[in-house]
Amino acid sequence: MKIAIPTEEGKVAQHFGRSPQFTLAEILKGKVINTEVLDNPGHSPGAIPQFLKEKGAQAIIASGMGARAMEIFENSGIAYILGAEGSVDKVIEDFISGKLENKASTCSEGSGKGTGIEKDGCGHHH
Amino acid sequence: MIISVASGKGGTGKTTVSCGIALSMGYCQFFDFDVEAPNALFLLKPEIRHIQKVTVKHPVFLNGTGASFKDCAEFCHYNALAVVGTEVIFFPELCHGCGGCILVGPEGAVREKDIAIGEIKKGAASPGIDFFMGDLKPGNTRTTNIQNELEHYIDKDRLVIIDCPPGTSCSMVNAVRKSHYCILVTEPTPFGFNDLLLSEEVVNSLDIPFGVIINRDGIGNNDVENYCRQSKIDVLAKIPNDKGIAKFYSRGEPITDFDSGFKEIFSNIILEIKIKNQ
Repeated sequence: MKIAIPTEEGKVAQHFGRSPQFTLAEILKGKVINTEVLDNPGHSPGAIPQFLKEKGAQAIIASGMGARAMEIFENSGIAYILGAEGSVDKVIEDFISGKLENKASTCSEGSGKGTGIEKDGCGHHH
Repeated sequence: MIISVASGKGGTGKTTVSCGIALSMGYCQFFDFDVEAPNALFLLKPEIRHIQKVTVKHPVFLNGTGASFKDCAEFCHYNALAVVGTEVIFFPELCHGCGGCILVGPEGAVREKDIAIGEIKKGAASPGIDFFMGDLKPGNTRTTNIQNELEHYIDKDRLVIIDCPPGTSCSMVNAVRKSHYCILVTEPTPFGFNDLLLSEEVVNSLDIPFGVIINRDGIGNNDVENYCRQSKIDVLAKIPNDKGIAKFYSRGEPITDFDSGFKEIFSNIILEIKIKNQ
């Protein structure tokens, strides 16, 4: 699968829309088989999600993003993980090993209160 | 200091004002407590960093065990349970998640499960605004549950701006009640005036000091302003009716982008509020 990560100097960029670059990593059988680093195509409304979609991203790993971007990804069936920070390489490693914490609870267990979360199903891939 | 921005009538400009204040002051906490129709995100454009599900507990009745659920139905204050023989019918829309039926019901015959009713989202907007909003799933009625989750994040030692839902019902009262000061935004029309009186009643009954901002000044008459003067209510500002402001709003552009002079106006209002109410 292909994942995209907003990148600034090798780290997860703090601002999705103004991230200077995006790392596009292709993962197969638990290994990164290809990596591309693409320049930000420009922050006009909806441009970045569209751009990443065209590049074949199936999941986004970011620290945060605007509501518009989230909506576009949701409508395109692209998963997103929030709350990631630090080295992009480490984030990809943690993602592959399942250790990456997702602060967008629509895909994570244990968030919310109570003895069991009723999941409606994620509707997209991890 | 916690400042809420409310109105009686909807559409008077609460979000315009609350976002205008946040953008003028910066380095504050901003809460959108209108969890049924949150709109501050369109003006503040936060980056959302954390989404958290909000759940309530609903009972699950093991019908067909012969156990009697009469006690549960009697206990339920909200009429969410109807007993037919030894079977019980549950009305989820009426349930308030109090857990009472689970406590009084026959041992082991009433369980609980978590139902997701919405989310809270946390993020950041420039300049230095810690942004919090709630989002109630359509079809759900439990606005206060989501608001109460948001409330955990309020840091009263900081400047906290709360954008309230319109009207004077439960969700507005809940949004306003912990604030130190309330800004009531109204328009100078008969409806605006009438609904200002209703919201005044709410803040008075909660003993919350308040002031009024008259928005879209010029579209009606002077009744609101005269009333405020007679009742010694502070009129904090009068924002003129301007199609340009509306155009900006419709594009998700805040009033401080339309005219940066509003930054000084809003900053001065906050200063005035702080001086008079600390």
